[in-house]
Amino acid sequence: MDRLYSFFNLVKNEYIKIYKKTSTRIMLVIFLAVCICFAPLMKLINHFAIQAFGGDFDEISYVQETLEDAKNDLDKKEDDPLKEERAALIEVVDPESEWQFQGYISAMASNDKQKIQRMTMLCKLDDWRGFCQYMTDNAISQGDQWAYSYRLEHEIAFTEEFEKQNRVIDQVAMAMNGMAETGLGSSGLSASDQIAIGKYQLENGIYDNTSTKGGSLLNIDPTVKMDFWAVYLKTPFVVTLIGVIMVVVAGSIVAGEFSQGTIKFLLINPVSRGKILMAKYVTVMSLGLLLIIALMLINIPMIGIFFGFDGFTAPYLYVKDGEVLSHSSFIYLFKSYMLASCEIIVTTTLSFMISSMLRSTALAIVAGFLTRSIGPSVVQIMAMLKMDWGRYLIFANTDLLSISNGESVFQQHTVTFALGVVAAHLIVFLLTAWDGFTRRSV
Amino acid sequence: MKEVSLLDSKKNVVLSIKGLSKTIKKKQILHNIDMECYAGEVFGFLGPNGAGKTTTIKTVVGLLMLDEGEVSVCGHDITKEFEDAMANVGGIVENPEVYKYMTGRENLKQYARMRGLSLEEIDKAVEAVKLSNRINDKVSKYSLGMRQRLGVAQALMHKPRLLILDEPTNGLDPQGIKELRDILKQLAHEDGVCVVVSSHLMSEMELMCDRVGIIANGSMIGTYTMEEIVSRSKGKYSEYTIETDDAEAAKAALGGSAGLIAQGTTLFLRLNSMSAKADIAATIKNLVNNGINIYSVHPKESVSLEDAFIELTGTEGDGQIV
Repeated sequence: MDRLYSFFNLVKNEYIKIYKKTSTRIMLVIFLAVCICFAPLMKLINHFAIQAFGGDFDEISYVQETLEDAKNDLDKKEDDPLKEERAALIEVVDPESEWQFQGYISAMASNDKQKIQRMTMLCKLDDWRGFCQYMTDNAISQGDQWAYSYRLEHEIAFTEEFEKQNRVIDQVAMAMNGMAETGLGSSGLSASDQIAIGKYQLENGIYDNTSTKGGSLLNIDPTVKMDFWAVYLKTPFVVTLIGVIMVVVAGSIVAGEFSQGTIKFLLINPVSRGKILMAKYVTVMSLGLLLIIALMLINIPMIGIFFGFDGFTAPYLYVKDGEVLSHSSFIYLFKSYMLASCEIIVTTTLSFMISSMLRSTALAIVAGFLTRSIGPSVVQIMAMLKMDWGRYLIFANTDLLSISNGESVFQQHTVTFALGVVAAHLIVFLLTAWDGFTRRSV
Repeated sequence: MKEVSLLDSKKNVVLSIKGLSKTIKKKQILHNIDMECYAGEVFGFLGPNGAGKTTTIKTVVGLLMLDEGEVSVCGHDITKEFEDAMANVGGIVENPEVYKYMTGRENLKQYARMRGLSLEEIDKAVEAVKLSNRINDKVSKYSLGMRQRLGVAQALMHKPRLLILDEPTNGLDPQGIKELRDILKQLAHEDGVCVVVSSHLMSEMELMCDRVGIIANGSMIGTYTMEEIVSRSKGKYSEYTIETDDAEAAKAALGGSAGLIAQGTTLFLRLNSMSAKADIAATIKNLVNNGINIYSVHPKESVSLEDAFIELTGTEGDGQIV
């Protein structure tokens, strides 16, 4: 207990030293500003993206215009044998009904007289079930067939009331049609997983799910209004900034004592060098953890203010061994944070090692940043040259977020393998730091 | 009283160095150093620049790893029981470098936390070095002398049994040097602390130390009490000048022996060093009894004290730093 208390005092000393420096205070202010501005910034980006993509888009007036244009076009065409049938269809389509317009487009595109007449009749009767039945029998793509038969089976009409269900049905149909991975806002989920998850949602009445809301920072679907989790799940990318602060702190925490000459007074104390070094490492790492916690906590109310708390309790669905499982989105968030933290732990430890081995603050900070900026390029080049042993390099294994999304440049690169490489490197870094600090002369 | 306590404490070894050798970058800096320092004494560690004073001190406080030999503080080996040994040590090595972006008090708090001390002990140490008025200023605004005082406060605050100060008078003004001297003497003679002070200034040591150890070219030349050094430096004769109203009359009164020269109102005397103190007292008494007015008696400035030091240390290498 006593030893723990004295170790706690060592860590407290380090925190005070860090906090008293003007440079750290400036970095902290910048960090807090980024934390606070994250939500409003995302709101701005989302707002402009939607506007650029036709935010003031009014579907009903668009449909009305289309029908108007089609009517005018038809008047000019003298040689169309189905002119009368088409005119009748245009006449009966209700612009406010979503399915009628779908049916209209499908019928107008064909030259099948029967189809046009059938569609005209269905529209006249406003019979969505009949429409679904017809589409189930006649749709070409597998996804559409499934979607219409599902609606028919489960009595899901094209109304406001079933908006959520229809959205999920459309997603599943899109995945079935092989469009899932090409669209904007793709989440790294495979089409088959998306289909499985979508069906699970429909079966269990869960219409909100965070599994597609992750993805990288700038990968934002400009057609969709972002909600709480869509923004919150992007906060792990701010961890990079925390990494910058940690590299700077780690680079100066040992080397700074040498360059200021204070190391002599630090070591003339009844505390072994090993404990002092450990206290310094614990300080850097716990500082990173504190900043991450601050980032998470500040962003809950901030995102709430700008995006609302809708879907706050939405679960995270995922597929494992062909089975859909569900857990809290917070667990998914923590996992994202941990994966994102791997890189900063590695660069910080590297910087810490150089700080204690070479006793140069500048060198330590530069090395920390170089591994971040050059490392990935080196790995890319190695992958291009088919040098497979590049996978054993530390740079190739720090971006766990990409590796777990299957975006690694190396084949069959698993998170477990990456963690093994990272752990081996961390051990070497720390032993080198230990040796450099505890056994050398001052 | 002081003499007795000094003699008693001689058995109480605080710092013991045995057969210490150190090689840095293939150059042997220390050769088989042996040294013992006792509780209740101010021990001067004396040597020219580059003799190995700082290297020895750094080894004692654990800043350097030793190659050969043993160093123990209060019976604790510094390599095997580092924390126990260092709990008894306070010190300044080279310059007093502290955290400049913090105040003096915040700096001392750092050390207090590492040693488990209370805030009162900080205040006491600050009081002792007379820095109370400026202790809440940023250290970046301190002069070298003030930083030296802060360093001493840092070394004193946990009441160590061994206090090691490497050239502590650097940057201090005459007032500060005197105050420091008084503090160190008080610590040693009244509180029984073993104070080790390094310096290359013999005159400074003379005023402060009870014993000196002399090191040159990385080897221990020997340890001497201050009396031994002083008598060694004086050679065979001691010289005095006496200012009187009539030097010739005085010379006549003393019997006009060979060691006397009268010049105006000044009388020069040369006495045998062995009995100089007794002889000068007898001479003064004699003059007074003969009705001669004495205005002042001066021993001749002992330049040879430095000479003795140079003689002890600088025999090789033509004074070059080796």
